[in-house]
Amino acid sequence: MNRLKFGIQWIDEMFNGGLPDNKVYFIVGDSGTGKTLLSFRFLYEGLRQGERCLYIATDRPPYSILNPITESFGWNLLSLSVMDAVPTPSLYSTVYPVRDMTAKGEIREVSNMNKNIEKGELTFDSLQLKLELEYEERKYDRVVIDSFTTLKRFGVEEERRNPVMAKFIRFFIEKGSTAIFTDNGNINSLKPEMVISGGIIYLSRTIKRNSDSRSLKILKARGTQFDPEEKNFKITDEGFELLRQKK
Amino acid sequence: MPLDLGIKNLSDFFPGLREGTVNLLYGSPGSGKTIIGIQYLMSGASKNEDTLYISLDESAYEVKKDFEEMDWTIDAINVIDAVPSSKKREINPYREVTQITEVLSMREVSSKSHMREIDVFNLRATLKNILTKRNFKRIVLDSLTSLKLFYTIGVEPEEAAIAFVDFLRVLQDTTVLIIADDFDDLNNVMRMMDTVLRIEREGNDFTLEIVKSSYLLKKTFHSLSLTKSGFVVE
Repeated sequence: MNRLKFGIQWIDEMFNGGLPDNKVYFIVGDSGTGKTLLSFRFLYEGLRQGERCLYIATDRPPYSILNPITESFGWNLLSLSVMDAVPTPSLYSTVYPVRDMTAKGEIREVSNMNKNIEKGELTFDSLQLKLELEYEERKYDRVVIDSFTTLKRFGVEEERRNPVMAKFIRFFIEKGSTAIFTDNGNINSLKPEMVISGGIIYLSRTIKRNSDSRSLKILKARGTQFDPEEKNFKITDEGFELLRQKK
Repeated sequence: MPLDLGIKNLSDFFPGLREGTVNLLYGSPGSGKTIIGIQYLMSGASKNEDTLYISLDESAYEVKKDFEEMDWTIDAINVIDAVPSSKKREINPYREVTQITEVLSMREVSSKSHMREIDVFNLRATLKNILTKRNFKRIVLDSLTSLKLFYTIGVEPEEAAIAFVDFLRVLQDTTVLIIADDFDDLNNVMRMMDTVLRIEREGNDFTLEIVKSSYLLKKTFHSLSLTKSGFVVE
């Protein structure tokens, strides 16, 4: 089993050398806790290692996320593949240095032809089909879906939800990819799909009048020893910086 | 003779699972449930017992890789890999009550061994067929939570789970350990269990609680440490 690093030493050490590959992980946390940034750090590290990396955006158009990150941290993300899977129509320029893997229209076109699918509809089935075609051309080592919460909300009818999600998760494992799905939630709302995940990283943030404290905790990791203690950190222009731990 | 869990020094306090019963082990994600399940089976295998792991959370190949990563060889365990392939195009509520898979030994498991769509009905039919031909001393089902969530299309999950546990209770010569997540509502199935165990993790401290047992026990909580060779009582 290979280890995939975040390139953040203290987090990689918490996983005893990085994430065991070929699994699907969840990063869980409320809005603003750093899920997107941490998943981008994961992709950036992959690119640095010469791996193929794919970012699938379902909440906001990818460029509105990419640009601030590139500016703030100076990460070179030019060879990142991006899929805009935002389930509402949006306008953005496709003339951009980032390789755009697909437009929403393409997602729509390859989705189940015998069904009348509305414009811009995002479903697990259509996304998986799109990815299957893409994987025939090129395989991805690292994939991020940001956020899985939105995909789940729009992607499937309730009665089929759990088995369809399970099938979708299996897809990445069978293709040999390592995926991170972000989840808007907290420690008290662990969801069905996390039962079959390879691991769960929990991010939290407490903002008070004169303090802003962030923490990271590994709740679960299969196939590796891990450090289960909660770690305080801050986000600086260097990225994720471990703070001296209390106690 | 009770069947030990394979946790070193535990049998001084807790004799094990009563022969021919169905038992439950639950805990939160990452608390070590699967490790205990595998220890229970390995302990049987080391005594030349026939053991079976029913894999619903992860494919058998992944489970095997995970344990190899910890330098455990679990080849002696048999497995039913019930995790379906992602290749199935449509998931529909349909019922197939024929046998859909064979028992493999972990030694034979590879990344290629995958099967067709499975649900609680054909899993039961499959087990029934297998168990008429072969007797397993120890069975681990990992996990009941997965069974409810991912293998019960078009049926009431709670009822399906109860019916499944009930089916396992009929097996006289087999001692079953069922694994479940603690966020699952386990009230209904707990009543059906001979022993109920709970594992809790606080940092690197693990505690095994014997929630329910038909043995008279002096001690309910046991501190465990996770070593290279699995959980041990300190």
